[in-house]
Amino acid sequence: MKVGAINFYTFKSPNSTPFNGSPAALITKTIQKQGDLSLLNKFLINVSKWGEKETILLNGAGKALLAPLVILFNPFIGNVPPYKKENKAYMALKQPVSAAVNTGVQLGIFFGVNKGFDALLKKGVLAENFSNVKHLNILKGGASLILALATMPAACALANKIYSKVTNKFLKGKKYA
Amino acid sequence: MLEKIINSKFVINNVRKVAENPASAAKFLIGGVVAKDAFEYAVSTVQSLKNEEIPKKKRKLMALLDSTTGVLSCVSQLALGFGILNKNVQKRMGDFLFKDLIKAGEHTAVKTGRAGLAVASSLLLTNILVKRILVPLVAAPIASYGNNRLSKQQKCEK
Repeated sequence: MKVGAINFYTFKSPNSTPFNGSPAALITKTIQKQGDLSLLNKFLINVSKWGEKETILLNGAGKALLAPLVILFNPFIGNVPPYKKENKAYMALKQPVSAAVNTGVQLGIFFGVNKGFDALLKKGVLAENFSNVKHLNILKGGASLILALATMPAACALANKIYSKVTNKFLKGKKYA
Repeated sequence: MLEKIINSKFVINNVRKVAENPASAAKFLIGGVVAKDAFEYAVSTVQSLKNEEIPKKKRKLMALLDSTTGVLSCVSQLALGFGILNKNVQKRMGDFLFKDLIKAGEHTAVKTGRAGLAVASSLLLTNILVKRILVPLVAAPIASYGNNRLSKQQKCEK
């Protein structure tokens, strides 16, 4: 298979059969003679396929795992008021709760939109341009972004409700000091 | 109505632009994240001010923390994200990271890798380093400073 013959925008081989593997796997197939790709190169080539779903997951993971640690161990604020130890725990706990709710809501919207647009494509409602996988994925990403923004107030309110229950349980009913 | 919007020239042209240009694709992703952040922090600030669970005198601090984090996070993500997507910066990073593939003449692999580099560098820089580490480090003392000033002003007014 010639390298230049693959359409990397649609991820289809020359005989138009969709390729289900990762972009790096497809490229590795074509350059086996020159040796394997380095791990970093493979990672970067695979990232070329990232879209809305990966952004939502990355955002959620960062908020749930990193943000609480930075709040708890911020060297610039110490333990002086208003950043007493219990207040920091109170603030830090909001991050994973809010991340879980927002990531869940946004992923739900993303998969719903995905199904909806696939159905529209089958019905033949979408313009010809969207039969291209990459174009369709961008359209799906844009639509889920708009819906995520529209549902944001409700998602934040839900996160706040769960947050007060979680703080009551894990911080033993202590309120913000 | 929905069909008309989806199939409009505006949507088709913008989707094509994002599909064909890796930098536009990365900008689209960052723009989406920033739009969601701006809205989320705005909603959070308002809800923090109304949150009955937090004692009244501490609500301002929570709201200040939310709004400071929101503003810093959106501005820094846009500035650094779009900065790293600069053509020269991307070319230099790509030339360094894909030097073996460039030497081997693997143009398609390099092109795909550069597209991935644009997304990875901008998203990892803005979403992890800036938004989750640098901004919270700086936002907390700024919010505290703002809170102390507000408290002093209120005491003086009394």
